[in-house]
Amino acid sequence: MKKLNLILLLSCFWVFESFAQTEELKKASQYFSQGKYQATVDELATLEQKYENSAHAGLIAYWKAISFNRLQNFPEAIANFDKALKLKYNPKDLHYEYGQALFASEKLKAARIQFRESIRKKFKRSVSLYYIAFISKEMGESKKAVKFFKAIDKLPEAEAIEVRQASEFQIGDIYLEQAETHKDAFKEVETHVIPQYNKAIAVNEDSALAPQIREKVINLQRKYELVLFNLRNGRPALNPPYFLRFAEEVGVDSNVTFSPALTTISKSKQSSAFSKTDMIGRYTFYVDNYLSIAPEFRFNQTYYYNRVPEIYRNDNYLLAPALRSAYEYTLFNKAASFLVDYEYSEARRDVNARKQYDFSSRSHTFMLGQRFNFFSAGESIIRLRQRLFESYISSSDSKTTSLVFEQIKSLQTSTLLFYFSYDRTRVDNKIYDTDAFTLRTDWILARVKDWFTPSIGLALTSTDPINNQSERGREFLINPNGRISKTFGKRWRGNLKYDYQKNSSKDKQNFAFKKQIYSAEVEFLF
Amino acid sequence: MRLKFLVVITCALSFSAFAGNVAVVKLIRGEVDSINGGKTSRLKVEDWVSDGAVVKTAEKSFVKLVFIDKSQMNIGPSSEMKIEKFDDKDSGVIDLVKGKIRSQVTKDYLQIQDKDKSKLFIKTKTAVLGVRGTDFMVSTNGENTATVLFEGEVVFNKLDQTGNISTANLEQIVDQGVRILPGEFSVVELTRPEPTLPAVLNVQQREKLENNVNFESDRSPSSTSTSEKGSIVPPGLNGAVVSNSSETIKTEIAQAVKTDSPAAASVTKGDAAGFVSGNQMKPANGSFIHVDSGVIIPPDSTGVLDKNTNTYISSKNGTVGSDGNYVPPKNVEITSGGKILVSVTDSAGVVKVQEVAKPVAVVTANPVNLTNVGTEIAQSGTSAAAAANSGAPTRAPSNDILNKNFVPSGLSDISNNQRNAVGGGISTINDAVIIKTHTDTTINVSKEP
Repeated sequence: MKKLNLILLLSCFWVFESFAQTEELKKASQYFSQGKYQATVDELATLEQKYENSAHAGLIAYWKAISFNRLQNFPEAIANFDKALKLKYNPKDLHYEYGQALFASEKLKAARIQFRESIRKKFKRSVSLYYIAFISKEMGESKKAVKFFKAIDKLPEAEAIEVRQASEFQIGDIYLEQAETHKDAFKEVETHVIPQYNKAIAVNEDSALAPQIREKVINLQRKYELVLFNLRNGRPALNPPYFLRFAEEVGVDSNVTFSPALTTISKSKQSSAFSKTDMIGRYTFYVDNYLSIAPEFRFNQTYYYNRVPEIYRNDNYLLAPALRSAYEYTLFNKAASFLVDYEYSEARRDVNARKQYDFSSRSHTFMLGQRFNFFSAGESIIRLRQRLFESYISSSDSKTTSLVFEQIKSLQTSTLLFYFSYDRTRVDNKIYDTDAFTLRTDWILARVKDWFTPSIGLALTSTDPINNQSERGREFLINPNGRISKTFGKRWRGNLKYDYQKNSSKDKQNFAFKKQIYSAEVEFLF
Repeated sequence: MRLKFLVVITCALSFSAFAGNVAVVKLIRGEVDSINGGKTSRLKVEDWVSDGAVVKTAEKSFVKLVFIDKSQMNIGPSSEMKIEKFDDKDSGVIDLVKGKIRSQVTKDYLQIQDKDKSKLFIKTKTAVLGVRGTDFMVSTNGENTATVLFEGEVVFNKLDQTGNISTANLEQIVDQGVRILPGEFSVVELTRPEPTLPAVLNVQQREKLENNVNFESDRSPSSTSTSEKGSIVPPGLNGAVVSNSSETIKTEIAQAVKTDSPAAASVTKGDAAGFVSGNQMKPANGSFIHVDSGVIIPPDSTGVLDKNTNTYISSKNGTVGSDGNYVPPKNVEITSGGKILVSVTDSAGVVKVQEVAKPVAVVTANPVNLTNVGTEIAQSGTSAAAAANSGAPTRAPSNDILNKNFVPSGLSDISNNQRNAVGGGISTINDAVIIKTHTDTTINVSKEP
């Protein structure tokens, strides 16, 4: 009986004690819910000693720590988070809040550990990753920082979205730091940094952060003279507005073919070294911010070192002035341009193998085009073109109407270019009339070891000699090619090129051929 | 004995009221004068103040009055207040010419049953406050009037009329104004047509002002708030994104105190960032008030959103003194006239004081006309725009040791930022399709000329 009484007494005491504790905590709870964090801390401090060995000790430490965080008293917050952890009180947001207190106190390494724990507990994973990445960046661990910023992308969209733009922005900053130590900083900024910032803007163009990123891009473009100004549809105008390129190429052609009139091909079946000089200049005038007009001039000359008549009659030079214009506007809510071009070209060639240049051909080309951004892949162009061709052999005069579609696809580390054309050529001598389809793809790959840039391409042309099918049949030209490029400073570039062509035709004598061209080229750009 | 005492006090109060006396001095510090009918007298404890009297406090002085209805009114330093009307038939009217008062109005003043009727009006030159609840503070510098409510309810509006206005008219005016809830503040500025929409005051300032009933003066930052705090918001993010919902702690507390649901915060919900829309301005929750001038200091862009109270906790735009007054950053001073002065050291080392525009009291864009992110007040007179232009979201000058081998893995030489036209992007030169970059990589696609 005595025992029972004792148990009852103890139970009553426990219930009473528990009730009293609950009431005491209620006051702190009330203060906390009202945002009276100092009062909360003061109240909890009075209970702390009393509850030292109770089940509530951990809660009180954690609760005080959170309240101190709200009061921005981070040293006290840290001490209390520490205490809660020692008491094995570890609710799921503790590491996150602890990490924030450490971060604000500049204890970055320790903060990173807490944010890692927060990720383990699946609490605010995207923001925790951002903290880890940012801390890594602050500690000079750029590679690690990029890795963690990019890891945010692997989280479900709902989690990642709130920090994605900022993380892309941070990656851009890291790229910029890298670029600015590079000797070709301007090129690095153009090819890596600005695209990264644009990627960040694209995450949310209307965010509060987007204008800051845009401002940064504009400042970089000004600093590195990348654009003159933005046209009304946002397309950057070139800076400088002029463009001048000289190129000198030397190489070997395994089978020099003679085809000045584009109607017949005469194979030399001999190889020859050659040199080629190419120069092109253009100046773009802007009329307000919606129209550009660019006169252009091109000259090139080819010389073959194998001085047999079948070869040296290919020696030629070409003069080609042009006038190009673009009307800028917006289509599908993105930058678009309507293009009108006129090109003239006159070629002189040693057509009679007399070691002198004679008139070979001239052409007038008119082009209407539409450049637009409809596909998410990148910019597209449709062109309708007509070329009036006049040969030194009057029966070879022709008119070619072409419909062309071009598409750029920017991949993460490379660029793809697609080209498709339909060419309808009508020649004075009807036997040479053709309908041709060309499909070409070029893949400009990632730079290799910061040293050179490879690109490869493949073109397929199917030509239907509509009035001479019985003799020639449908012809196919396969043209794989490749090149590697290396820049030297801002102005110089070197290219190694390879080009293979195989044209199959029923008329093996006149139209089927194979050739390979190896060449090296040096370019100077001004 | 006790009953006797109560009867005596009640009789005394009734008699005093009958004699025109409406309040008795219960506490005094420094020099406080009462002016009535052209006669000035220095007040002391237990003196009576009559209807129509003007009470003036000197610098660092303070007086606590207890009115006949047991309402308390504490008048702060450098203040001037007139008891325009205080009788037992109608709502009282207090005219605050300058300074600040803290008032705890009894709920049963005049035994007005209608909850929507003001029990007391406090007028300033530019604003009027209808008191329907208990504990609030109002301050004016003669142009701007700020009100902070700690308990109960007040209604607040701009006052365009001068002179004697009937209580019926005052009631009409405050009815068209804003209704302030506990923890919130509103400011009437001379230059704005409407009072600001109520916003939640910075939680630390609210707590300290609430505790500082007697206007103790101590503007040194309190021990828990230093002016050079680090921010928990990493650059690039904002305080709302990094904010913890506080659900976990609320649940933990709820379990400990054995309630069914987590404790609900007593503050208003809604747009914490604030906004400006037409004549309306809703300051950001968590803004500070410079009590003497009514200038609102918004939380800075590194302020973190405390979702428990739906307020931003600012770390850079100043802090709060032990007395609850706003303490600006070291190089910033706010005058009682509301001017913000920033000390800037020029390249020659000469310190110059410049006046800067008042910050727009919001944190981020909400509807329209938002002009700024609230950091103008901040360090060295650096504008928000300049801070944005410097752009890189970094905490401090980076001491990164760059790993030279680190190249953003495998990026192409060809710009994704394809160029225009008659010069860039995709174009053609005599049948050759080219992609152009700054260094003009030319990719011939079709036949050579």
